[in-house]
Amino acid sequence: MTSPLDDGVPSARVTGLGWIAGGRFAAERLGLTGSFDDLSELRDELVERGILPAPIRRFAKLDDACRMASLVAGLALHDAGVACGGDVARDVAVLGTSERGCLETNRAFFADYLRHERRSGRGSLFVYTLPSIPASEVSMQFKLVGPTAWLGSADARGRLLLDRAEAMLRRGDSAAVLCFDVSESGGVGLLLDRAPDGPGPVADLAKVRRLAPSLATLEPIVDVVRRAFRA
Amino acid sequence: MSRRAIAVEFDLVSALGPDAETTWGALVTGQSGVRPFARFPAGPARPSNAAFVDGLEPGHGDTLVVQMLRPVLERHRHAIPSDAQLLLATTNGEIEYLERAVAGEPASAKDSVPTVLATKVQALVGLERPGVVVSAACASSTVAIAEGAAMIRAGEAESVLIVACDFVSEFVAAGFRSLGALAPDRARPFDRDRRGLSLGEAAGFLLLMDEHRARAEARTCHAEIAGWGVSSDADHITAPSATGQGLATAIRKALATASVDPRNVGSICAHGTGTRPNDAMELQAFARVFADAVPTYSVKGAVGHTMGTAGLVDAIVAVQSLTVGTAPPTAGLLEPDTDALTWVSASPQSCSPMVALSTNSGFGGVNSALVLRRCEAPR
Repeated sequence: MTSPLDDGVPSARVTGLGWIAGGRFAAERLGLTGSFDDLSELRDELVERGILPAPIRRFAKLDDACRMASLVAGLALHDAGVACGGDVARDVAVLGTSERGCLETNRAFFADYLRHERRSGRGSLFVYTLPSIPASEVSMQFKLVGPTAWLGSADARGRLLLDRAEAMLRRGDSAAVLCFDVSESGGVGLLLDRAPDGPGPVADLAKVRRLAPSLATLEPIVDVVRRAFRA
Repeated sequence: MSRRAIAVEFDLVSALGPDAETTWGALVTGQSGVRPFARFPAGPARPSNAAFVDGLEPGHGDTLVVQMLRPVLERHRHAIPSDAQLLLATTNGEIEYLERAVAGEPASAKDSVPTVLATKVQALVGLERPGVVVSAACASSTVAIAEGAAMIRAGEAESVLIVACDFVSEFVAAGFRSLGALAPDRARPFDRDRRGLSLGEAAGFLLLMDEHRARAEARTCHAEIAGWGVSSDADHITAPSATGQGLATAIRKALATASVDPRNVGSICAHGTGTRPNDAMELQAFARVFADAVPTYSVKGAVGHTMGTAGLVDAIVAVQSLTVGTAPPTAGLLEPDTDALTWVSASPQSCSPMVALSTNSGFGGVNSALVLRRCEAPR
């Protein structure tokens, strides 16, 4: 796809970025960091520190991709200074990506079905066997009512996600776009908007993209965004 | 400069036939492709009926979605420009790879990841650029069409190929059975006694092109994708919003991007799955947007719920409906539910052939709507 950045029109900006990797987490604009042993412990810590406005609902029932997506989304939203949750709906789109979609949950669902001699699948597993469910889960947890979708590419999914998010902002599909790229062990989430002013430092996305060496995933932009926030 | 996105080529295979024309002919005469089903091992999870495509052979060469797609795409390959941007819409794609791998048969579960299928489709059509997978549950292809049309309107692409496919797998049947969503006999959308959905399978494509290029290449203009809207209920993982608010928002967005007044919508191709919550939610949404009843229909009693392909099937049917000014009957409908009276019919309905609306919703609370405008209709 043609990058919408090539025509000189002002780019979107990153207003918040959160990541989880290797037992550590961060909210980059605010400079919050920490470590954890498992995701339940992380969820509890994020609630205690006021990073999550409320516990992630049904956390124990979610699959790993939904847990990770919800947590990095919570970090990114908090980092951007956006208070989400409760009954207040926000016009924020949610775009998710991942290397393997919902492969692990698909595997778990079908293995469980075969273990039960093909009598019945488990509905509580089946509902997570769609690649787009982590994005929908984020929309439910934080009451984000803009478009939601999972986008996949064998090429460069990080670039794809940013291209589509920028296009959505340019078209006015939503006021902001929350993007995430997750796996079972980690993820990156960032909030983009096009508003001219806002609290605290922001990172111009066009500059971020010029400085990021590769966008096969979203991970390479973390260091660049951190530097932009600190500048 | 804002550009119009024109549907210049389309086709599909469904339980009603090997092409779009045959499917349309069967739809308008009230036929149904839902019939006794025996594809995978008998057991409680196997639906007694489904709308399946004739001639597919599980375990023989191509996967079932490729068996559906290959003849459709090869028939039209000459008409698809190699520079088209591919958007592939699917929910489970080639899930049989995973079924076989988990069952201990020689297969790799990783091959079921939809980006692998996108690479295959790219090669099958001979496209220059890698494809993008758009997955938004059962609204996947509507969201893909919306994105494709938006790309053209914004000048990001001159032509976009939307390909959609999903098939009736043991995996999916076991899942819908576990949710209690399957009809015991056949889907009866908007009926007073509707009891669930019928699974279906289909595959097809829609080629969108910028109007200037379409004119330069002397392409047929079947319809304009004039407007689109997508929203999220942000409410429940499987159940649609009881109020219809989310879908109403998507419809209003679609009408706004098309600059169309609700009074000018001549027909609605509804998602109409045949489950009690979905159909009730849709009627709530329509009532929020439209002051008077609009001829409305669902094709799912005829072609089944084709999951990620549902939006493509609906859009193609809506284009065909615009062409002739007839809304097809809702197959399976016996007695409309109270809130569906004056909206749906078991017979074909004549309708204004200028503007049609197509709607889809899916798990996770995603809602989507397209406004399709006849090419010669005033803007």
